Amino acid sequence: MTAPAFDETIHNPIRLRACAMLAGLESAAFPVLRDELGVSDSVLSKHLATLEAAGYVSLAKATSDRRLRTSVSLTQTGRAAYASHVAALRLIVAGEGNI
Amino acid sequence: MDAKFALDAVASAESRSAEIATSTPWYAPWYGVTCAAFPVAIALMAVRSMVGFAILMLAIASLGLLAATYRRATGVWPSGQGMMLHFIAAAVVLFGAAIASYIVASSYGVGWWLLAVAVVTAILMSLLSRGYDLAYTRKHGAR
Repeated sequence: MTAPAFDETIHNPIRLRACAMLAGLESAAFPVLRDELGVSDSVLSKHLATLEAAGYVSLAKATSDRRLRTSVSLTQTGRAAYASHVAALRLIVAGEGNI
Repeated sequence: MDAKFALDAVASAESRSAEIATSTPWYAPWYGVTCAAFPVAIALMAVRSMVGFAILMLAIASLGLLAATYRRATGVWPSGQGMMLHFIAAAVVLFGAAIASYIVASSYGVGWWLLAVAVVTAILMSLLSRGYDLAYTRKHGAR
């Protein structure tokens, strides 16, 4: 069972939704995340950089059809932190914890 | 951000992610037909037909093309975590069909029975692929 732990890095709305998108995936292409989150390239890059600095996501760049394509994955640390954060949110909603 | 609002956002994003990952209705039939080629190839190779080797190469290429097309169409690659039962079921059907085809072809030669094996394998593997999608959506898409 995942121990609840509120994580300020993940709790930002864009980063939380990005982590939620990535949670069930091995990887997602950068444009998919950008379009689904409804943000610009630069905004997404900034948030991914924050998550990457925390060790929560890894970015992989590959050239395909002469274009540089970036794919994003949650790391094991990121998956654990995300699961703990969601558990903490559930606890708060259940009235057993506070932000 | 309010915790209830955050949880709603999480559920919505996870659901959308699962929807994208399972948004390819052509995947299951393509996968099923490609998998059906394996027992056919094995049976033909059992009777020393070079066509079997050609079919095997085509099936491997088709699997690679399927994965590349899926990735290009969806932009995602689903996680296999918690889906082990589905992988085992697929392996049992595929290896079972391949081994049975090899034994029957070695003993009795190739005949119309191979077409039946191919059709049954294609249907079972397509259904397993579709079942994988449904289980994946249940696991990741609805909380």
